[in-house]
Amino acid sequence: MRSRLIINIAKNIAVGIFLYCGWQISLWAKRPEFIIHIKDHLFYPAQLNIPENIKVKLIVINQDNTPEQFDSFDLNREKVIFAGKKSTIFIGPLSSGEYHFFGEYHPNTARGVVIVNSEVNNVD
Amino acid sequence: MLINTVILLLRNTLPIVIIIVLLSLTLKDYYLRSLFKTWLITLLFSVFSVFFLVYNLDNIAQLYQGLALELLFSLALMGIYLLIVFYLQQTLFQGNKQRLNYYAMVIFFLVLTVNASNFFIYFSGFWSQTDLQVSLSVGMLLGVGICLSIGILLYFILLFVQLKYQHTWALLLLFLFASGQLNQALNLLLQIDFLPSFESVWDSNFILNENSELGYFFTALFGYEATPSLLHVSVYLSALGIPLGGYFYLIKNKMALVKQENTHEYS
Repeated sequence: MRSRLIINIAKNIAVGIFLYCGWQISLWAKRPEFIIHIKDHLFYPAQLNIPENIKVKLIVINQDNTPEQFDSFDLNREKVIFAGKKSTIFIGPLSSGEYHFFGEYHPNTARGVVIVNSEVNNVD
Repeated sequence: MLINTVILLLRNTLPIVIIIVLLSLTLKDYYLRSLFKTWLITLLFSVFSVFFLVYNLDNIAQLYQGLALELLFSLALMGIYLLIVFYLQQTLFQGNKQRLNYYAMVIFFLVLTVNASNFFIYFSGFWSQTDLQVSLSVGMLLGVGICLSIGILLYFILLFVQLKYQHTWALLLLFLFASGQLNQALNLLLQIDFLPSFESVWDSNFILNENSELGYFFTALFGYEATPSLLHVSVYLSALGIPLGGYFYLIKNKMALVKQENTHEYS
């Protein structure tokens, strides 16, 4: 009896998670997109202005022939971008300020900053 | 490149070293020696899966709108958490020893695969550049040396505490390690927008910088987060609290059963 109850609860939780994930995925298309290129172990642009209190989609395209790891302690993000490939990272919603990021495989050259500003409106 | 290799190796190898130390301390009395062959097979299988992942991760990473890697690793990290919770339950209630050993093997396999593949992506990406091979090799040797020293030190400190005070600190650390893994899974899910993000509730970087050697160690040991959000704190506390509640419930049931048996015996 008790095990059946537990199975039912687990089933409901699984269905809930599944529905939630579907809803969350449907939101991906609505996020404003920003693109960063990695070339010669540098980020282009090295400074990115994004709006305040909005979650944004950051597409990182690695044009080098070696992998790079997008890393940021300020943003709590860490992602490997393979050579010649692109990857997506979601950041925010953030309050006004500067959030530094770097390429963990080339921390001396690959450096950049996300500037969150309430005046940035054009997110397309 | 040399310092970078050492740092990356430290960050990715510390969880492996810590789990080896904690499992060897908690499995000490059980099947570790008698199942040496099975452990060897687990190790070989883990190494094989690391190489398989390293050479296929770039393709896997492109699946599911480029978010497959986070999903894969977050599932593995959640698996580690659940397995450690069951492992601790088996240890605390002296359950099936063979099952305990199998749990340990799968935990070891997952921790090794997730962390080692992260480092070898870096290693294999730069190994083809001949001018970097010396820096990579020396950095790797230095990193392995530091990790081994930390592992040996941790092992003997925990063993000393265990023998002197009869406390199983290794079990507590294993529990904290598990919760830390769940927090890392949470970070990955936040990164791919599977969970809503919140502002961080505090910033403890001024006490312990997350980007320092000690910060790496504590991140690997118990999932130290210098700027956690409310979601991080709630998940971490629930990850500790729910299994603890379960363990107390089981202890209470067991004690009630013993009491009932004693009453039957006397009557």
